[in-house]
Amino acid sequence: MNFLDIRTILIGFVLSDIVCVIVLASLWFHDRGKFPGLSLWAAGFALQTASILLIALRGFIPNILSIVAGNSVNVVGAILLLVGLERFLGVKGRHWHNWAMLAAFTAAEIWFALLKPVLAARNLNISLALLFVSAQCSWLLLHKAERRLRKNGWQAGIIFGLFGLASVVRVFQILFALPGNDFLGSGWFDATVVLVYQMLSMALTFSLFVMVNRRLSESLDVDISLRMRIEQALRISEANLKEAQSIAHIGYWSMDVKTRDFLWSDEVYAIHGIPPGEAISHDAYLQRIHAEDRQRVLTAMRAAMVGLQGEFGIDYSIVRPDGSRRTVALNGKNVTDEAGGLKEIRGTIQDITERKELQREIAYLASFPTMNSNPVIELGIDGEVRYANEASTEALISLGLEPDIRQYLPGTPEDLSALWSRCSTESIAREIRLGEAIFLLNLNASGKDTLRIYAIDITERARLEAAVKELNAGLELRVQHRTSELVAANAELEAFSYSVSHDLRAPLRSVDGFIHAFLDDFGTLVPEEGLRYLDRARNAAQHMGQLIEAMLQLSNLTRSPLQSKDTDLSAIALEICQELASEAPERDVQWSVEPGMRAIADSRMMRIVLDNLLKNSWKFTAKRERAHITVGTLQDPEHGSAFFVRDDGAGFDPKYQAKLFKAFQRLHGQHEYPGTGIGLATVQRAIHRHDGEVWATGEIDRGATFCFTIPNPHATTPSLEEQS
Amino acid sequence: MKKKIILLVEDNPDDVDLTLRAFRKSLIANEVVVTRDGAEALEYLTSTGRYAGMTVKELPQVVLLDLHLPKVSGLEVLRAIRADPNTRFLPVVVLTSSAEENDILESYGLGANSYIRKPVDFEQFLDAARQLGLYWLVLNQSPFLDH
Repeated sequence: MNFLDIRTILIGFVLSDIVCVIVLASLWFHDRGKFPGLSLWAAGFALQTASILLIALRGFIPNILSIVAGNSVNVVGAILLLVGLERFLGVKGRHWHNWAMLAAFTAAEIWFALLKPVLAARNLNISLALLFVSAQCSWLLLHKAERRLRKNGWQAGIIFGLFGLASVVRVFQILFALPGNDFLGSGWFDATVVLVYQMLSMALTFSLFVMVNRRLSESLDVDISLRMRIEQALRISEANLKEAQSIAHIGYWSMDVKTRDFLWSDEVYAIHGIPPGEAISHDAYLQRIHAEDRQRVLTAMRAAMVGLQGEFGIDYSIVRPDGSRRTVALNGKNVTDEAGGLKEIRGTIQDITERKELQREIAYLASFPTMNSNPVIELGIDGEVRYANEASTEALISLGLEPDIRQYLPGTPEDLSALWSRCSTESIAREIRLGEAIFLLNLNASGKDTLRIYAIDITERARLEAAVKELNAGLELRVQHRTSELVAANAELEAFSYSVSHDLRAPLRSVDGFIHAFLDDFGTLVPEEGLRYLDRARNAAQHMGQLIEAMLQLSNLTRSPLQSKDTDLSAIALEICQELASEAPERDVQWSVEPGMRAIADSRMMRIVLDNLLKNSWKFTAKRERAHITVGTLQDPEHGSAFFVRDDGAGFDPKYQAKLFKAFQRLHGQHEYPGTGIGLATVQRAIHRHDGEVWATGEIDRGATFCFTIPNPHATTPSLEEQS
Repeated sequence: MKKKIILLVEDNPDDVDLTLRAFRKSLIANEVVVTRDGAEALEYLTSTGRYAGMTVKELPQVVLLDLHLPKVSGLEVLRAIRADPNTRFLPVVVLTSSAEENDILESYGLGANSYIRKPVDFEQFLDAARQLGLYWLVLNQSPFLDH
């Protein structure tokens, strides 16, 4: 009598296995997309369930079904479980040995069940087969699989190990106590083995479930961290994009073709000066475009919307709400949907205000060489003309020359770099002749390998210079000619003076001498009146002698060299006064000469000056009973420090002042005050030769004052700095 | 004592007459030899030319020399007189109308003993002639000691 009924246990096993199959099937159903191999697990357990059912129906069905098919299906289920595990763990395995084992197993089953039924052999057979497979499973889970996956499946590995251990124990039990031939009645040990298998099957199902779930949660962790990383990267990328947009002042936009509403990036808002996020309708967008450009932009947009243009670009001005004006570059392209219909227009917009301003600035600066009417050329040291303004070619064309600039420029390609290095320290000027014209080239080194050439047409200048040179040469000749004429004139003057002094006086002497002789010898024969006439003739001759004398003095003053030295004017004046006084002791004249009057002057000329002035005073005070003559110095507001000779004689009418210093101009009749009329002219010439000034003040009958200045020739002329 | 000779070198006949008159009026009775140009004066002094073969005569006491002379100028005559050892010390008084500084300086430079400018006023001329005679004919000690 058996304590445990194996058939009942087997039925329980079937029921618990069904639960296991359901669990694994649901596992497969839920996670079939995530992990491979789950279906094989369910299939393996299902086969096991079927095999145990077949075994449990022993006696009710033919043995071939109950024993051969039942056990074989069991082994197949185990193999499927192994294959499923391999797939789950991503291990590629070969299974020919398992299928070979299955074949051998089945053969042995048939042999020991049908042909020569031996229960022990069959039990040994199934135990070894299960040991074979479960050992592989255990090996797979505990060793062969990836370490990462092993940690989820070690429990299952141990359970397979226990399966194997159970099989080993059974093998030993069979070897030591051969059972009978009826499995269902084989006793407590087999019943216990079946129970152990059942427990292990349930534990295996549970551990497989755990393994899958662990792996699921693990991959979920991986998913989450990956996602977080991706999100982080996306955020950084977005931030970068945003920053790049704001740095480049470039934003992107899109326009829905149907609604015509715009979608703007933040930067587009910033460019338009509108707070980000505000809805932008088509009209609102057009509003921001400068009126001058609106139509142009609209046309381009429309062309894009009807598909005339795939891609387009347009520059225009916008006006921000605050009124400031910006220049933008808009680029766009149309985007079609899957069906090929136009969906939206998408593109970028960039604030190019600064760039445009820079361009304008560049254009403005470029206009200087461009509009320069003189040629401006840049020549590379490779001999290539890098730049030439219009004036360069125009100059050549106007000269009727071929407008190939290069051939007229200095320097062969070989020596251009030498020319460049010479220019790099200092610009070089060169003249070139182009046909009739002459150009002055100013060469400057520019950059590393170019020469800037500024040319000026100096044809006219050269012509003028030549003319000036010619004129100068002519002038030189004329000056020489004039000088020689002047020398000749001077010589003539010398000769004339000599003649005057010698030849003119001789006849005067004869006139005077013979009248004298006549009077002397025949005076008694001549009536009284005749004597008077002869007297007048003699006076006239003598007066003429004085005139000649005065004239000679005047011309001598002009011709003789100036010998300036420190001269005591007071002493000279005193001497002359004494002479005059001694000549006419009967006259009462009060002299006053300021002492210590000195000048750097020609003493001979100073004597002539003072002699003439004092004699003048002497003469014109002749009718005064008591006359005063003063010689001194004064400060004149106009001329500064001056010498003067003053008398209280006849004076002169100030309106004739201009005539005073002219030769032969006299203000008084010869009968009144005799004189030559040359004295003051002589004074003026002597003073002028000293670079001085002479002037007179006076009134009729109230005397006259003659003033003169003698500038110190050694006194330095005050420089401009001192004056300011 | 022999009358001392005055040699007058003067081309202007008026001046010759007036000079002679002045001497006469000044009671200078010396013989006055008149030569009309420089060449003649030199011929007289060296007894050549027109005066060649003349009996040996003594040199004049004084020569009154005009500067402005035809043929040989007064200054050249003076130079020749000073160059000739015989006439080297002969007193020469330049008597001329010129008051040119050059003439005065050159005359003295060539060894003139005196320079007198003929005044236009005859009275002054008379005075000059009188003093001239007194000085050169009476007061002045001649270098020619044998006379």
